[in-house]
Amino acid sequence: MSKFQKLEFYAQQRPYELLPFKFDRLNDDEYVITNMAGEFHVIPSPMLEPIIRKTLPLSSELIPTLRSKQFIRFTNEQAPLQLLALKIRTRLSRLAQFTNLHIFVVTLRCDHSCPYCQVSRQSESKGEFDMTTEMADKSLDFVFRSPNPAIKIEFQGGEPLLNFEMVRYVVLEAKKRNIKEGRDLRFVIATTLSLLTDDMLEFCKRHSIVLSSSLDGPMDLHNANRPRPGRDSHQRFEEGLKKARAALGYDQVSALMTTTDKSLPRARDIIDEYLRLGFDGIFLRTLSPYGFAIKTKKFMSYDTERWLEFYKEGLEYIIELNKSGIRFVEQYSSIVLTKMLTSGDPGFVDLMNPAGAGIAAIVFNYDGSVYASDESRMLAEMGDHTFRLGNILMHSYEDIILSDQLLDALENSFTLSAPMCSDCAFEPYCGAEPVYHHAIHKDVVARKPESSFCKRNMAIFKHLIELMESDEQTKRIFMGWANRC
Amino acid sequence: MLKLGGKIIRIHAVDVHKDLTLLKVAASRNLPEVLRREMAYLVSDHQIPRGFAHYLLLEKHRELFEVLPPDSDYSLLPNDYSYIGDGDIVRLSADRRTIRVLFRASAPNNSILITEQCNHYCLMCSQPPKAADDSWLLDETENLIPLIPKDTPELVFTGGEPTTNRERFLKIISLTKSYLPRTAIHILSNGRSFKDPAFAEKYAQIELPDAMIGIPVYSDDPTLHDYIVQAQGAFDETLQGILNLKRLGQKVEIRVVIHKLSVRRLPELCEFIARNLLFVDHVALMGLEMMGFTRANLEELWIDPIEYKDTLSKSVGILAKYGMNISVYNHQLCLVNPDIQPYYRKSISDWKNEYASECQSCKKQRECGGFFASGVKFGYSKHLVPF
Amino acid sequence: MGYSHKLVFDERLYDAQVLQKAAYRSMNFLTVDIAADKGMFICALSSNIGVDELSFLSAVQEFKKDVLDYQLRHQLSTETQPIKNLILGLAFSKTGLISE
Repeated sequence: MSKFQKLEFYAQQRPYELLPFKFDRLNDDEYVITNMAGEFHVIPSPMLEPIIRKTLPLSSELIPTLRSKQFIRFTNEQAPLQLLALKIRTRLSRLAQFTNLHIFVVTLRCDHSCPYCQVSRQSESKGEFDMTTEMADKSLDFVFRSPNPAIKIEFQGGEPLLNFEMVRYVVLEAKKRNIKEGRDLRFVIATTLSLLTDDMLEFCKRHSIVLSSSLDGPMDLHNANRPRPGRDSHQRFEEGLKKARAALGYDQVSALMTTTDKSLPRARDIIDEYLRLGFDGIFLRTLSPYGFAIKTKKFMSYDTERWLEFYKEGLEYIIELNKSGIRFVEQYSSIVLTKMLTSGDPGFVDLMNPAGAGIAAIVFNYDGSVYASDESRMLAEMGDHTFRLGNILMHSYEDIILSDQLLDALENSFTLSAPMCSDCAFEPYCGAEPVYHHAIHKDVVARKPESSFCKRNMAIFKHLIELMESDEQTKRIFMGWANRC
Repeated sequence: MLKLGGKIIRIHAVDVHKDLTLLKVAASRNLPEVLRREMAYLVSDHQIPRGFAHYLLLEKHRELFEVLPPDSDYSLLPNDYSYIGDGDIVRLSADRRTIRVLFRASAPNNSILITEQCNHYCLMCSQPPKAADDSWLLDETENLIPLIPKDTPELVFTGGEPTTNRERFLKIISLTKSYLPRTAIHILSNGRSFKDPAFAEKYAQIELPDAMIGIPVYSDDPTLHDYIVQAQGAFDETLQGILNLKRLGQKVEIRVVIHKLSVRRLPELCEFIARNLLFVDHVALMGLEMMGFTRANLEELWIDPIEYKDTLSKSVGILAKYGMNISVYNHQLCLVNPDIQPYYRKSISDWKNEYASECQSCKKQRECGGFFASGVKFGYSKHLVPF
Repeated sequence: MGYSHKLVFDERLYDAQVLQKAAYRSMNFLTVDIAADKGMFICALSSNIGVDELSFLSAVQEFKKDVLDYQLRHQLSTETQPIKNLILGLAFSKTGLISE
């Protein structure tokens, strides 16, 4: 029918315009390019220069995808600009809500003495390492100063159950205040489960408190990592897990692992243990450089390369499980994938930019001091008080939140201003991590080429992208994780 | 397929000057006199109540015309119209020669055509646009809406492009809100008018309690989309329209017709929707209708659905992973993969369903949408396999 | 034993900042002294203490690739600065409906 125009009639004739994007080498043959909203695309290396110099022919197969993913546009097109703006806005909207996570360190006492722990090895009975009610009250004043409609209060220690009276006090006080405040208020207790009693479980059930515990792997590994008088950490964990699940609900207890030298060759065993105990995911963590880790030079004895092998092996096994229909997620990858595949913000404190310190999380220590993050507290236990923001009994909310320590750290570590970070294609997926960099490199920004944080994360980003490019099914699985399906 | 409009056999019009073009049909004998004066009675036996404005007589009951009240206005209809029932709304032409059924109370949903004008010229358009002034359709719609039963669950406004005359469109929407506050309204539009923030604002201000605008996006490649709809710059404007509507909290559905041109980048389109339009309320993936322009462009458009079933599964899978609401329409069950099952919808319009001869022995006929009548007549997959 | 290598870049084709960024990126393996002379940038690359020859040569290769990359980034960034500001303006605006 002559009434219809041909395809060529609608094709663009003039050259395209570049939209802002970043790029980095993925491997010897390919580049990753990322747009302003953090969406990526992989291109053969020889295509990068023609794209940027605009010598790429308009008939190229790449053009529709470059348009669709907003790397280029044609003059006067408005939709690409509006779509990018919308996605950027969506990603950043969580920032405005400000602090969500408030950590209450109710005691330093603990029944374990883990070599990598940041807390001093206090015996179970000393009272001077406990938070007072006066501190708790003032801390709660602070909590409700946050504008966030959702507030999470997490109890840490030592072992918080050793000061359960304070946990009880804070929960009841917070709920009382919340009648007027009307926030979405949630509670978590980080505990080894070894000291759980029926009374405690009853209280947790009544107030919908969730438990976050530690499982390092099968019994031999877990007990080696976590010495306890009686050498029965794993058994107590397992008993506590059964009890807690029965009392509170199956999903109300989560587990976090800690990685040590001993963990590195045992990726599959550790995952199998999580499967055996009915967990639907695992967080393959790095070893933090804080606390006893550095003191006992544990940190020195493993390096980024070996951890990456551990991570890749674990992830490979988990993907196999998913392909055979088992629902099991690797949580760190999941957080990164949310940033890669959606416009959502996973809200994970350690991987935020601007840094999560103060903005996403704040720590009230047993002695009244206030820290920008958990890492800041650990650093202080080692004698470095750089990120101590003040004292809850002496300083106001404004003093603390607007303190130079916090603001300088946030500003100086901001990746979009940092050398190498500002140009990096993976910047949308990464975090600022000022405390870590200060701890290791004595500089909140640090020199990224020397940073193992940078090296590790970049390796993870490239690995995830390569997995998605090479296997459609893996990409589909990752989409599910990214959307928490 | 039901015949919705055509010639009347014979009509006895007592008073041709009586302006009674739109009539609601009644099959009940017990209506009060004040209401009978405005309605048409559907004759089915000897007991014929008096006082109706008009009487409808089917050919198979033609002998009953002797029993009609003296001096009644009546029409003798071919038996094709025996589906007409209580609560339906018909239009008798001014010259009393043709009848059209505008609304069927027993149908799961009713479509109201408000204009045939359109600024697109889609290669597969099932309702080819006409340029002539058809504002009488808008007039008729305004007269029709007050007659539609208030408990009607769903109504579709279609065209052409319904928003072609913006002011009249808004007026019809307002009327709909007023007369049919409990009816779910579906508006099929290319969305480009809503690129104008003022117009989008006016639509939003009407605050229809339950309405969704169904907007087609045929590719993530703007050039391909523009080609399919035969309009330069269409993609860019349609996207802006969608964004404006969502910013104003209005419900939007993305509609995709799957054919040889659109299927190649279907997964990319679904990824585009998931990344950019995650907030839309529904995504509808539809099979090709063999009506209208499709037959003129068959070479470019026709692809046997069995060839794209895996692509369809992949595309639906992407949307599903992102948690979107999805429906797959106008496909035969034996031509899609089982993973489509949760999203498979039997049909859109009941007046179009038919089955092919291969389907006779099929056990799943009842769950299957079958074909459009046009499909059975003009071509369908060579790979139909009964369950 | 330290290793060294010299590279020369035409001032008309490469920005000083580009060379500096590439140098920064390689600092885990080598240091770069940049000097300007008669329209050319002279880059003297020296290996860090403890870096073997193979690692150094790989790092030199990476440095050269990085210079090309950073030059492209520079061009891209300069060209897209205005539209970037426009997009950010849209992202942070109250109405979100600013048009070009």
